[in-house]
Amino acid sequence: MNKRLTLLAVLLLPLVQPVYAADKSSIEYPYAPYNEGKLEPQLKGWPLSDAEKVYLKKPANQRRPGGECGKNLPEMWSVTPMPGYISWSSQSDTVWLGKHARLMANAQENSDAEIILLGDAFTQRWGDGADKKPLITAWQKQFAQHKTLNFGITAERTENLLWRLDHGALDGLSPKVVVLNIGMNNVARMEKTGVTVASIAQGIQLCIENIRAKVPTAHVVLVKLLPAAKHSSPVREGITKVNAALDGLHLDKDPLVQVLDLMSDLTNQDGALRDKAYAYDQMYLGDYGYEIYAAKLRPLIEKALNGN
Amino acid sequence: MKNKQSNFFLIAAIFLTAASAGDLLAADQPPIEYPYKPYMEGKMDPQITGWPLSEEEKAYVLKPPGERKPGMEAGGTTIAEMVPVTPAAGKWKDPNAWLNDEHGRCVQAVQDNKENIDILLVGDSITYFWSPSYKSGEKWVPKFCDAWKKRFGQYHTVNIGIKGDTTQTILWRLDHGAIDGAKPKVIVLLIGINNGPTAENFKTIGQGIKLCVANLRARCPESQIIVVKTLPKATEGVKRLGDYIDEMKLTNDPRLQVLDLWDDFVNPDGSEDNNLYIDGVLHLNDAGFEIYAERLKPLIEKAMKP
Repeated sequence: MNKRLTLLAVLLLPLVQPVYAADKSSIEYPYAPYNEGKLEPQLKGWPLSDAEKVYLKKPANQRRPGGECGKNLPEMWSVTPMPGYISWSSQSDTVWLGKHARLMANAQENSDAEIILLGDAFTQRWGDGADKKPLITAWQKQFAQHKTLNFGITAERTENLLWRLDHGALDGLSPKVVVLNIGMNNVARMEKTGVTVASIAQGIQLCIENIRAKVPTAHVVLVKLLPAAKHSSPVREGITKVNAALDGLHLDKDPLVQVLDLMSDLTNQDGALRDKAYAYDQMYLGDYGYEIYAAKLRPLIEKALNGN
Repeated sequence: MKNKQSNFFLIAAIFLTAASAGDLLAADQPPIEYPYKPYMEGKMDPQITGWPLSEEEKAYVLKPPGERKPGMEAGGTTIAEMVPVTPAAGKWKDPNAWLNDEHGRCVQAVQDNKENIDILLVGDSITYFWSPSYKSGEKWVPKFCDAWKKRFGQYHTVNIGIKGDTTQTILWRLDHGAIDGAKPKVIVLLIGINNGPTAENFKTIGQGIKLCVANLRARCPESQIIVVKTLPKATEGVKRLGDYIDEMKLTNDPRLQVLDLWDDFVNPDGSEDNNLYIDGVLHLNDAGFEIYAERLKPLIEKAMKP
């Protein structure tokens, strides 16, 4: 009897095993409890399970790394996937999840896109993909012949992008180039919350790793943090420090990764933002700023496209 | 010659009318001058100050707001730049709700406490949500949120924030009994988002805020005033309005402080930090109120010093 059960187990083992086998498209995160499923019930995939939906209704501070055991671990925030702003309290909400869903639906209709843009509001303003807006003139001028999908979402942080990548963002796509610009919003309130420079740079590195795992043949162009806010402000200091930390990671030792630094193109020699490049007083890039950005991107994107 | 003479008579006549009108209305004039003359001349609201309202004024303010805008009294079109700087009663879907339930509630709150108000909160829904009110019998009872209680619980606070309010409705309320007889130690004013600031109209809204300050100052000469720059919504209009508040140099008044919350609520990429908003981008949640209260604290403490 026992023997028979053992035999059955041995026979079934190969059937069970593949489910647990390491999935090449998944990456390891530094916060082990997250990888072990002690935070989120559904670490990847789309659509969301009911258990995951229930989980997402918990307040954000309980869903952050450390929240599961009552600890405050801000150094883990930027490197552990977490969805963007979620509120299920009113009808108009789940805005962020709605955008994520719309971007994916739109991508399914345009799975032949060559270029994919990932990032925050600086990326979204190339032309909001979630609203199916056309890309702005500055982009069209340089890249009109390459079908481009814009996955930028306003207010995005590294942890939000990691979550999107794990929950279907690039599924079914085979881009030649992915342009990534993220991390700016992790810098906000860095001092007050205890989020560290190193963890933000590591969060950006994990985004690249994740993209490389999901679409292994695609080139990645990392655009380092763009200058924002006043010259001597804590935010600008944070941006400078994160960019320096990125340099230290030598991300371009991966032959498919290129890094673009726009600091000197968007600031004057004294460090002040170039007025002409910004729409209004340190808020965000204006048309001329995007012209500069696109022109600077062009050689890197061409290199990536020709290299394939 | 003939022209000059008639000019003289005209000027004399204006002086005489102004003087007699002044004498008659002395007690019933707003404490400050508004730039839109027809309003000052009573060509719009029949009763430009005082509470309770006359039957005539009641009938007037219950008309749709669109028919009461500056310019409409002459049968013309709205003069947009006069809207934020000309007092106007608010109105909700239920015609009486703003007037009775909201303004009435606020008047009552001030009258019940006017002898000993430490902090008076003036504004729109963002201010209202410091202490949503519930009705207990005939009375409205405010319930202050933890962020407020934690830091300012020791102060006697009265909140006269009304959802949807604009610079013009604040002006109207101040002139119609909102703070009569009150001598608050500190007044916190946050207004302007419902005026819809854009890159084109931010200056007129700034002027509206300036008039609110002037009105508060005229009514409460001893009070400390804190002007909180319009928040939230990370748009160019709101940003410019904030900068314009600096340009107007309100702090020339030694008993006035300005609080700028831009960097606290706006991400470096120019988006709202929506972890701080209940509905993504407009009303603050607990975390948002925590930050707002924490930033307000040193200003209140400074204002409370004798």
